[in-house]
Amino acid sequence: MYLALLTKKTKMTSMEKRLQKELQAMTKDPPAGVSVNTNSLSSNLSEWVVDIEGAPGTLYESERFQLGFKFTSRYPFDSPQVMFLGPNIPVHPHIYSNGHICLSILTEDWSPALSVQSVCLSIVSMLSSCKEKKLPPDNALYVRTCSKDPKKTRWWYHDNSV
Amino acid sequence: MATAASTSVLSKVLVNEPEQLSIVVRFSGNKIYNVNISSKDTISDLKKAVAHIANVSPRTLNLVLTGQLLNDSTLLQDCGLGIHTTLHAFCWSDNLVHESPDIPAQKPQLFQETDHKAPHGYNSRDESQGNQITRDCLRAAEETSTPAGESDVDGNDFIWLRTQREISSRTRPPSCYRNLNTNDISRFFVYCKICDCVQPAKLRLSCKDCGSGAFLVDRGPSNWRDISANTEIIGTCKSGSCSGTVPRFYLRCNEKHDGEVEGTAALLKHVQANHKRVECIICSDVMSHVLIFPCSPGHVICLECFNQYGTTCLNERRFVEHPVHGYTLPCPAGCLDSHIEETHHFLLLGQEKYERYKNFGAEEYVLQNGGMLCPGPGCGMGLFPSGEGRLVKCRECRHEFCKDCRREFHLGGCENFLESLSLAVSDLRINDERAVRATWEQEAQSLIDETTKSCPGCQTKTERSGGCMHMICSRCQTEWCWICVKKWNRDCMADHWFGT
Repeated sequence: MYLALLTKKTKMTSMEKRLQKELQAMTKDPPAGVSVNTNSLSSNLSEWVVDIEGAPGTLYESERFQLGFKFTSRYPFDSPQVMFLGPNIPVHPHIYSNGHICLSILTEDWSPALSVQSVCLSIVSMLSSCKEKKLPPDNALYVRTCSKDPKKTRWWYHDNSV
Repeated sequence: MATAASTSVLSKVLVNEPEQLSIVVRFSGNKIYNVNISSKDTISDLKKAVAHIANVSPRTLNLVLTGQLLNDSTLLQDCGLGIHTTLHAFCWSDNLVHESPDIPAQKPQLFQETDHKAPHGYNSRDESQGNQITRDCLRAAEETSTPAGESDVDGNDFIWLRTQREISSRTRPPSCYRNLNTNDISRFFVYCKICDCVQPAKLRLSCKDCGSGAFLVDRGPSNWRDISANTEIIGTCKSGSCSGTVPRFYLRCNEKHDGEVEGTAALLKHVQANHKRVECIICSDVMSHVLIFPCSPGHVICLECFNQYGTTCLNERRFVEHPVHGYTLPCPAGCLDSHIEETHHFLLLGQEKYERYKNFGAEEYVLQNGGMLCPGPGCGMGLFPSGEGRLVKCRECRHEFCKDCRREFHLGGCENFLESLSLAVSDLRINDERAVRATWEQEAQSLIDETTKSCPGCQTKTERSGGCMHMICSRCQTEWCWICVKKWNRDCMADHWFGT
């Protein structure tokens, strides 16, 4: 289905154009442990699901997770909304049990030079560097009170060691 | 249409049909001769023809195009001449060779015959026919780096096909850079304030002292510093009694503008033709013209994405105040030392946004240097209040306000401001309730007071649209707590980070 999209000749928005290129690159040459779930793509590519797998030799080895990406028409100038989906949310000090991820490149430190691939790799490496599987200290409160959109949360990146 | 015309120029070049050229040869003192000649003829033939009408010896005659001496054996069709192209002519005299022993007689680097103020037939007229310069010619230009004086051109890097462009305010596309032709491979670009778009530029030089274009330089410019005000290039002014040794380089829009004054073409030092075909860091398309950030990897962004990037950062007020380059942006990859060094590049966002950019920049400067902005309606004047008192009077709109709370000036503490207002109303012996109903500003003021809190850093009224209680002021970058209205701290994080 996405192949049909790639060959579509109609005029695309810059967001679609850029996402098509990213999709092409990621399907052709996917980084280790990351694969785009091509059945999940919406027609204008504004929503993706990416399957990721915990790296060998880490606490999350061979665990499979799903990341949901949502892009606005202002992508790549506007950061994508990224969160874990589905029943298996990794237990990690920076990942809330509702799937929200506390990662600075997803909000303040987003740059249009980043991409789906670089976000996925950052998340995989965030999982890989974890020493102890535990929920964020404020998980219960956050999950109860936060907005549905993790980008609305002003994260306080106080600990970059995990 | 420009495209149709360019195709015809292209086909002419490709099939190499001989064509009749009408060439303008300009001597010093603005003597002008028109010569009709076939494109299959050589420069030598042209010289003979010119020498004949001008009554000079063809042996001493030199023709200059694009700062280059034209070689006798070169075919005219290889010089990229169009109808009415102007060649600059001069005759070597023994006299001159003796005066300038440093300049090799067989390859004089630059001799400028045109008067500085003279109109430039070549520059304007050749546009209608395209200006093709052969690769050989340009290779020579690179090797010798011969600069161009008034006779056009160091601006052409390896143009070998430049096609016609049609500039008219009626047909111009709205976007400021669409005007650039894919085949425009100039070395320099300017933002022309008359055309209101990016244009290829012509590099010119004149004597710094007398302004004459008859100036000989020792070597051609090879980098930005060479053409800056601090150029290390020296030379000799050949105009009358002037003994100037310093050239002054400047860039002009490639289009002919009547009565063009200096300062209408802003140098875009980071904009280049994308002859290496590097893809844009944002859209990954390979575009014909790009902006290259001054970071060490030299990140490339196409002009359209630069516009979007700049617009986004402007709307989110994410420009930064750089100690050297002013209010500017780094490359999107966030490299060190990648900031745009010349603020005129933000003209690429369009004139309206450029005005906003300048306002934001000025505001940022005022705020960072301990000043404040007048809160008067529609004013925003930058003020640096002196003295102890709380009363600040704007010298622009005469608005008087309190230095501490930025509301209009009041007696008593800032927390009693509303009381002082109603006190003033009751002084006029009007029923309080009626007075409140009848006040235009009161309602707006109350609404603002209800929905906003003032940033503890700069007092800017701030509305919270969602998220947690940790606020970052978009104006002064103060991090503060929505609940305590104080600097954000560990206690706020522990007690009410996500609300009470």
